[in-house]
Amino acid sequence: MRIFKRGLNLFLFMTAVICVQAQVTKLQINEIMVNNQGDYVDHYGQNSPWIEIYNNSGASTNIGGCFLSDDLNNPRKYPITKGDKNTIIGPRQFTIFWADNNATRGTFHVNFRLDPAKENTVYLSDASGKLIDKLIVPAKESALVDKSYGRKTDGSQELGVLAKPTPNINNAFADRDAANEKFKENDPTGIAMSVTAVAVVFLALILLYVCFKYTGRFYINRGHKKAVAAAEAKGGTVDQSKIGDTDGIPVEVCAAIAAALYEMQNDIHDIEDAVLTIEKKAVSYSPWSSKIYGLRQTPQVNTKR
Amino acid sequence: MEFLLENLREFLSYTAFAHVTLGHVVMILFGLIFLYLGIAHDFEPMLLVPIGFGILIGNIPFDEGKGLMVGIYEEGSVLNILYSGVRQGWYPPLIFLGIGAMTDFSALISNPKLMLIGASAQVGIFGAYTIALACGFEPTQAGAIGIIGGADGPTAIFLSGKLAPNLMGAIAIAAYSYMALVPVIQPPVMRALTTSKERLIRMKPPRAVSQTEKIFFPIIGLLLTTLIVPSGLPLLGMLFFGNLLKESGVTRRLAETARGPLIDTITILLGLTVGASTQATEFLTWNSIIIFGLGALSFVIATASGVLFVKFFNLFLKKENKINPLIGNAGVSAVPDSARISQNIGLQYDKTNYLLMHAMGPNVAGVIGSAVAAGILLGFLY
Repeated sequence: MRIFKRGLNLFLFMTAVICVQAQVTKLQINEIMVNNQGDYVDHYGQNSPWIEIYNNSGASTNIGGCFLSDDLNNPRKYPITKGDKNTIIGPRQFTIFWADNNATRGTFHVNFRLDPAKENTVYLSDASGKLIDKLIVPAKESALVDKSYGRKTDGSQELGVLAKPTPNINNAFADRDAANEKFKENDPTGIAMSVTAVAVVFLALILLYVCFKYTGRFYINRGHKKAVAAAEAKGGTVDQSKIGDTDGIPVEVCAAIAAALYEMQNDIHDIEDAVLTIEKKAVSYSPWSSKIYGLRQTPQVNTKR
Repeated sequence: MEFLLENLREFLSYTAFAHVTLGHVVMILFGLIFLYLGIAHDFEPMLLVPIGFGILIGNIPFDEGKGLMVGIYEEGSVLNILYSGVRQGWYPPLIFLGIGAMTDFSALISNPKLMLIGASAQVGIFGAYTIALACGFEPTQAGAIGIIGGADGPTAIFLSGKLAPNLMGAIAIAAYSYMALVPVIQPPVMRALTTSKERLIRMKPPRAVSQTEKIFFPIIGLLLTTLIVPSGLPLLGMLFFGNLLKESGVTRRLAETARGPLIDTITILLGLTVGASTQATEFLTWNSIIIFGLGALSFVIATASGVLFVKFFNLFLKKENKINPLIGNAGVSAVPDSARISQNIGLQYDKTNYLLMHAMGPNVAGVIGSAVAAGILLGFLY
């Protein structure tokens, strides 16, 4: 029994470790700004390069104990402080590290600085030093002033210079804005958009039309064949001119449905079902007005056990 | 005594009277008008009564600085939590689930060419989009305003919540108001664009549709529409799923829940919170007035394009297959009101010409069309 309990504890511990590990691997370097001249400012009023980390999982993840580095040969260059509650990143949330080579300013200031004059690579490693993610900012993009480089949408593999820097918010936000700008610039009257969109609506419904036109034909033909087969089995023949009529709903039925709806719409019908009627009953006695039923009975102590 | 007076003064500072503005009074009057139209004139009471009462709730002023946590825009308040279904867009797909479970697509399946009328009426959306751009709105805002022309409240809320959340209150109110006013807006347009001869066209009665075809419809419909416009998935997916629950014949209880208690619950929450979101400070702006104007225009364009498309389509149809252009207006979804308009106008010119069954075809096609259009706008502009 004791061995079983120990085994169970070990299993639970291992599961917990694996789960935590699995969560950490969902961390991604989402966006980097190398040449920050006049954009995002840190608590010390400085414009320093910054690195945005994204938690691409549905659970909170603690980045404490992981490592950041700009050197492949030294992946444990900056150990992220353990025990700082601010290192917990909420699900699909972000945190920013300042690459200002000033680690004494707090957990979120690392001990290396990104250089606008060359290509920069940032490595994120887990507590064991195993690489979780890396992001290379090419030299040309590193030099761009107040422009950030990263994933076009949070966590995606598509990289590039973002239309606007988006520290601590979704990268797609900038792209959404860009879509707006793009339409304003290229289609200010909205004609192109309208023509395209109406064409797509027509395309979708034409496809449905074609599909159900032929499905309908198939079922009509099948109905004819069945009618012919049934008639032949009885030794008779089918009047081809009347086949169409048997497939349709009789006009009288359509008229009756339409008339009923017309009456309902014009409130010709009764609407009593939601009305509480209080009418005096012919019978003078009614349990509804009886005092016997209206009064509570005196409670009695039950002595039988 | 002084203590009591001071307490009384403090109490009075808590009451709504101390904070009321002209804007609040105007909005409360709006709410009362909505209630009057819904209760006394039976104009879309299922929508106008909750929305009207919601407007009253949302426009009772209070001191936001006291931290009472009662306002719809105060994070964590009860109304704010209920409003999350609108803000995050999960009420509209649930409404669509119910709509799917109560819609009979037979008229459309028996005469599939009516689908094209549903597509043509979506021109109203994009007409309003171009006019909104000309009025100086951003493309995302113009897209959200244009969807009013889809005459589909849940779709309007879904799209405006994504593209222009700050305009959602005005857009939702405009969409529902004009849906209620379909009997006022559509008939003059229909009469103006049709000849007396065209109004008398009798259409062939629809054929009986087999159960298998009805089951195929939501499955094929989902695949064909969402493969083209995946961004319409939340609305179209729920619409066709609800319809499959209805037509499959084996999930009767689920279908009844979707078209009964579920849609009723969501309608109450949606109507009330949309109404409450129209706080005077957020709602009474020039933009809201322009949105109302554009909304009316989009309904007119949608109705006209539906009717004109039928007239154009008739040029290519044999005499016995001609379509009465009075059902063209039903291409704007507004189910089933716009189909009823076709029926009523048709009866005015021929007492024995019942167009309701035929008009239901473009009417439900309009629901699909507006959801597809919303998906396109979302795909392009979001």
